[in-house]
Amino acid sequence: MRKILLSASAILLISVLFLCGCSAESKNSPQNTAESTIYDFEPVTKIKDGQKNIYVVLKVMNSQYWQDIIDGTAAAGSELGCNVYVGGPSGEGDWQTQKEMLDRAVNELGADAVLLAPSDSSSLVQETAEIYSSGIPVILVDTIVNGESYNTCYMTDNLQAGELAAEEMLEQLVSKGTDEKEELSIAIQITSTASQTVIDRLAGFNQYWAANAPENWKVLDEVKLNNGDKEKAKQNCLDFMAQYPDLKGVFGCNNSSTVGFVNGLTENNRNDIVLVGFDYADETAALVASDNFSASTIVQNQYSMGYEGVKDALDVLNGKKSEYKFIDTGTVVINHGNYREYEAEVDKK
Amino acid sequence: MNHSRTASHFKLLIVYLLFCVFVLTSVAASLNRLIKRSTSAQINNILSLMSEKVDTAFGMMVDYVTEAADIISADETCNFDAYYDQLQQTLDTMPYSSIGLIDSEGNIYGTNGEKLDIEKQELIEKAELADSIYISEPYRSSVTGTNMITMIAPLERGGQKIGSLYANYYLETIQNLASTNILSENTFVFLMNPFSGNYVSCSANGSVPAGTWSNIRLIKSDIKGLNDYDYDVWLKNMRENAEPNLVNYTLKKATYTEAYVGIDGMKNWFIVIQIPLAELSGTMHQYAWGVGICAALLIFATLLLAGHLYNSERRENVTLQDLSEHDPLTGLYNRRAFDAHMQDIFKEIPQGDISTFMFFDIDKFKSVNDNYGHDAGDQVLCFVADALAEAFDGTGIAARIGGDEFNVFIYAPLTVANLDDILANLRRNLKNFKLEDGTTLPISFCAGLAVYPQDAHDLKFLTKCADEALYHAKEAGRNDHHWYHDIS
Repeated sequence: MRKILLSASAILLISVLFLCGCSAESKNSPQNTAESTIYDFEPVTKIKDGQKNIYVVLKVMNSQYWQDIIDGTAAAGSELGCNVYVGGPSGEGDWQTQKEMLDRAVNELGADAVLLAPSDSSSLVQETAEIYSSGIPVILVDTIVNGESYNTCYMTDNLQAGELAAEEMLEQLVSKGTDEKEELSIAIQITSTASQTVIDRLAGFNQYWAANAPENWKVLDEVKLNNGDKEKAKQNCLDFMAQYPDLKGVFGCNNSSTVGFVNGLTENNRNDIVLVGFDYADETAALVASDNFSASTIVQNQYSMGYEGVKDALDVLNGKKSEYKFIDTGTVVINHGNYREYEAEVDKK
Repeated sequence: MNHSRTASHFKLLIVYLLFCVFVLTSVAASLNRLIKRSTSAQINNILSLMSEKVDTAFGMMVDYVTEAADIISADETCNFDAYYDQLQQTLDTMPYSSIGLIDSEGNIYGTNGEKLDIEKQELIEKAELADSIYISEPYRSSVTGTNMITMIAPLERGGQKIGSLYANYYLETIQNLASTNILSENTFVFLMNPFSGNYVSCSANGSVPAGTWSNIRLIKSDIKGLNDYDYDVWLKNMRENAEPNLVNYTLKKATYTEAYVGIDGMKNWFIVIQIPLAELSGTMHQYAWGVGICAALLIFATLLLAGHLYNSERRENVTLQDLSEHDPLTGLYNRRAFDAHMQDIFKEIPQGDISTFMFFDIDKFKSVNDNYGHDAGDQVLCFVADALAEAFDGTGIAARIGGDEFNVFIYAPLTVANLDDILANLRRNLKNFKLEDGTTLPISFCAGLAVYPQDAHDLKFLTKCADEALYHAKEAGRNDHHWYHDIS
């Protein structure tokens, strides 16, 4: 009898566990545990006593894009007379390190104002809100955080940048003499669905395309991801070309996607396909400059983000608060027609 | 016999358990079917209601703007500065986040941020193309940093356009105005353009704030239409503003139902209301789980009860068997049980081994009862019974067969000499008997013994022989034991 009771209890226990097991979902542990070296704050201006101290925390430190932002902050600091220190994690997405650096800048180093390029729009909301509410100006650059607890954000209006890309694509297709009635496909590649920046660009592109493109010129339903891997990005391009014989345009929503398309098109010598991309990597610049290909790219004004950010921080410290929460620093389309002027201008800086 | 009863109990229990599992499973299955059917019917009703509510909410947002425009249109003064001041005072009570004016020359009465946005988004030019009210696509506002929409209504006097009025709304205002107690936590509202595939959330979803843009291409390959609803057909319906406006689909293991509502003044955009199917049926499923757990507990309780009943029945059986086999006073076997056990044991005795039967009688027991009372007599009987049980422990079985008479069957092959010794010992023990009150009461006995197979070839005859030997012992003056082979 005891055995029967035991087995009955066991059945009950198992069924209860089963019920619990069905309703309890395992919670994903937070990611972003990747170790990364910290580039500690380094002065980028001459440090003078009596000047305001502005600390800049960037997403990553080791790329031309971020160097342009640093140059902007340094120029503003020297021109307007403040001490600018810049630091950041070495790996992308490391918002924990950014949080620690913000904390150190404010509580140990005595920052008068901070500039931040947030790696995560939701995880840094609390930290920035605390600094902002304590009266220390918080200026965002490149990426915005959720909510409104910051002074001003200087970044690209990515939706509009995407629209601009679609407009450029249409112009290039038309200028190649493409027939409006011809059935053709446009392929899009992005890094990952976790980046709101690239999603905004993709949305802007589709928004403009749906409103302005001929009916037979269709954006493919399939969007390929590359997670920042340029090899994968190139493979995506080769796959797109193999899968869709009527492919006539490709749009890369960020640097890695664009470089992937550039390499894929070059490898197969598909100069019948129009490329529109983002940023000015060497490979991209070479394709824009090529006489054989129709390639355009959208460049951002990251120098201005840094420059205007520091300028705004000083204004706030001098009692002149900005009326704006968001300032579009603007974008420029670089194509075969204007790349020389652009490169000359970059060289001047 | 006892063994087979336990087995049949066990079988019954298994059958009962299987029956319970069967009943539970079929109840659960039919409940599930019922939930599914009623959920999809119910969710479509709820969705229709929600759609109406959201439609009304959005209509209210439009009405606030057109009504304000109508009031200003009806005024004769044409003082835009004064209008602007009056409009600012409505901000506390109205759901729009800011409001302003544009005069016929294109001058904007508003903050610098608003001016910047109107120019950057080319809102005046776009509003010119609209019949009456114009609603912008969501754009990132310079004033708030989040994605917002602007509504622009024309100001007219005598058929002449004198300017326009604009108001800015946060996207979550739609959801807030439409919010209901039911399902408000889980209902998601977004604006969708089925031509571009873009959609913009009107409510925060986890860490994603309201006003976030996305595109259906990013999730479409994971969407699986349910119940003959194809997602592409639904998108096509939306583009053509055709029925049905509902779709059921699964995305990453979750099931959703969505419906769309058209928006006047916002070309190519629709409001979409999404309800996770699991949320509604979740409530029902919780109920179903509750029933399931209750049923399981009930089975468990029944099993416990059955176990308890079985146990007590078994205890009762043991007591009954005890009562039916033993003499209640001394605890020795009664005659019936003794006979039965003796038969069983006798069969097991190896060929050639001897066994002995003894009739045993307390001398003058009646006088003990008469002189000392029945209690004393009982004490004597118990003492004798214990002494017999002890003397033949492991070598024989003893029984009280009535009054002062005892039977002992000695199955061990003890010799006459062995038994003579045992009985002599027993006689010495009984001689020293004391009542509980300390009175010494020497007891003697007489006994008759017969040995198998020397004296008899079967049990029946063996007992007869022993009885005869006892008779001889009694005749010879008691306090002694006689062997049958001595008297025959």
